[in-house]
Amino acid sequence: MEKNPIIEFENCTKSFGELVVLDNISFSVKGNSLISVLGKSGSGKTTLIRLLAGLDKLDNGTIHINGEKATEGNRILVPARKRNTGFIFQDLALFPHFTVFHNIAFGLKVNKENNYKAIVEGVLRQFDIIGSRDKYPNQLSGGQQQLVALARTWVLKPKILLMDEPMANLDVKLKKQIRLKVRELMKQRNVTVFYITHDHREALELSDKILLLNNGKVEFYGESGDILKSDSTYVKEFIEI
Amino acid sequence: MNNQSKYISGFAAIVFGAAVLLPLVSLVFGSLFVEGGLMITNFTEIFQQRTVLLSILNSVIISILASFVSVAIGCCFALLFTKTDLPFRKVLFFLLLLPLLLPPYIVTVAWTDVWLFLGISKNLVYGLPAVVFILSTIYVPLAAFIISGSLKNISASIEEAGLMMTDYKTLFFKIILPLLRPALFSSFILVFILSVSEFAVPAYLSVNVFTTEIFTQFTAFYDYSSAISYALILTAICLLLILPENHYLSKAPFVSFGKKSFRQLTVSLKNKNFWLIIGFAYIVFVVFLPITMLVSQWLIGDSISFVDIVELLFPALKDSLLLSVVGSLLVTLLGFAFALMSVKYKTKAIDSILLFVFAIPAIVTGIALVKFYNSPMLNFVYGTSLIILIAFVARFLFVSQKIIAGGLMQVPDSFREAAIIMGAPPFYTFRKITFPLLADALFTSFFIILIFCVAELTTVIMVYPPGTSFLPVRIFTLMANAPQSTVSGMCLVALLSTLSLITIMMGGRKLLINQQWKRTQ
Repeated sequence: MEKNPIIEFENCTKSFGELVVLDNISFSVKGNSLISVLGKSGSGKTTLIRLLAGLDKLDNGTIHINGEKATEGNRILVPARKRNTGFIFQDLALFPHFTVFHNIAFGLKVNKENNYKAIVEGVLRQFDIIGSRDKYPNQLSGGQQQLVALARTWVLKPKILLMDEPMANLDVKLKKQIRLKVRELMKQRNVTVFYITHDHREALELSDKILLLNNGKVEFYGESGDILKSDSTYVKEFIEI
Repeated sequence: MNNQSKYISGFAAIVFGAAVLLPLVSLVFGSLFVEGGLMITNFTEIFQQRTVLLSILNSVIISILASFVSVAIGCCFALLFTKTDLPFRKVLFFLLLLPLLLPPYIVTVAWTDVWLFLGISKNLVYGLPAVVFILSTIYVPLAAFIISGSLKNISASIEEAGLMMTDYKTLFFKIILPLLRPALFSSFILVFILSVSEFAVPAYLSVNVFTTEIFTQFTAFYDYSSAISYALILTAICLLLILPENHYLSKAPFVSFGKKSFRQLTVSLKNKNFWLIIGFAYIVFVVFLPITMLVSQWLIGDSISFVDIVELLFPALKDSLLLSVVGSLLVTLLGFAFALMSVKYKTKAIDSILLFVFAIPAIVTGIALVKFYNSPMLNFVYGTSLIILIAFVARFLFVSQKIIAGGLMQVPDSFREAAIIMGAPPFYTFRKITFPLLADALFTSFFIILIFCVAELTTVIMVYPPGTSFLPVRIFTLMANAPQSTVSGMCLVALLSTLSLITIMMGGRKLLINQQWKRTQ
């Protein structure tokens, strides 16, 4: 376990009907680090970050965020909107009836930020999407949509950023561009990032730590470089050593 | 799902259960169980009466033939207007759907005008083939609509994968047709149920079917016991038929919303002009010919003037529109609550319950409501327009729920979750995110139910309270004694009011939805 962790999963179990998706897992994460969550389809990656966001309840166990109990068993103690997390969904969840400007402004308006127009304009420039200000999501390319989703989350200054395979459909060049953006943003604000991916090469290149899930259990959790030295057969097979 | 949604859905379930399910269930149990014991004498007696057996046989023959013809022609038009590059296919498809939006009694009067004008023997005009023909023209659009929805859901990549291995003909029979099977079955069963419970068409053409038999027993002979027994047999036929199809029907894609990114494969027609003529000729024959004949019959005959007809029908027209607007609003609100239950709570039983209620013939629903609410304690329902609104809910809630559930399925959970994570409270999330994205489905539901309500005759003729005037009922009762030209004139007034309603709604739809999107930002 890390000292003074920002996030702590303690004996967490989550099932959907008969299917145990996360099976008594425990780990902790210190601040300002990028953790790649790896695993096969159905290994519990998305469930893990949904639990962290407060979108789902646990069966058993506790999740601490910033030392505070956020979820305990099937009780959400800190609701999703108060966890100061940002979530980038696999489908990006850009509101199709809002322009880029209004997608990004949504969270600020909800939180009664009077100066939202100036803030959004600034973020549009920071993410280099000012030209798409008045476009609707379906008028944007995949990469632009990705940046809007990132900007929409970023504008709310989250301390934890959860990314659910957001770059699955992008080409290599765009992926690299957005990865650099994520790294740059992390440095700016000491954000902790959970990044779900299938691609272990991407995980090795991008992350400080790797969390590898296998059938709902933690198969590996440690520094990204250490995964190459793991003795586990499953880990070796997964990263094709 | 938040607490507000649960309260809305729970309240809707209680209202529907108390107002609609209770009368239907009490009709069944009240008829089957007398003085604590099972009573089947009524039913055994029915099957010994030749006229009743003949009416059952007529009902079944008409329904089977109308279903076959509707599905066969509907499938051809669905393919032609959905899968090909035929010019003007969208306009033609809209025109094809028109008979579905017209009250069946108007279509019947119009066709009768055509046949009598052509000098066709009255034996043929007022006979079983005429009923089959008219019902088919009414339900071809329904079948085409359902099958077209299913065709739109076939991804181009599936067809392209098939075309890498075989020609289009083999692909059609081996891949497309099997994928269409649920839609074909669903439309067949739906048309059968609607045909078997149709009252106005056979009644106007003096063909003795089961619904007219029930109506006669109930309103002419006041033999409630026989009427209810007949009604239960008719219900049993429909429910038995729907039982194996429950799976398909409750999941059938009645209306497709969104899916802009969904790519479809279009077949290039070799002889476009030929197919265009076929499509155009059918529409002229089925849609424009009868309407033209209505107009000419009214002009040629010695009818009272158009102004006099409007004056005669005005109170009924006003009440009809008012009740239909309120009814379709109520049905759409309940439809939304039930769609929430079905899509978000995954309450599977909801789909089945609504389908079974929908499958109960309109005349049976009418009898159930009259029997249940005709008591001094419930006179505030029976003696007022409330009973008509309840009848609308019973008849059309399934359709509304299907349309709205289709729209709700196109709004991913991640939209709502994204808004919540950003700090939006549940009602704000609903107002700004879910509702605008659902506006199209809600509007479509309101529009379709409004058209259905305006045209509904069978249930309303059974339940309408004294002092209330409803246009289809008014015209239907005047038909018996008015000259043919006046009947045609009255139908024209009803037709014009329906078409005006459609035009207003279609025009307002885009404007409303665009405004809704602008306002939410």
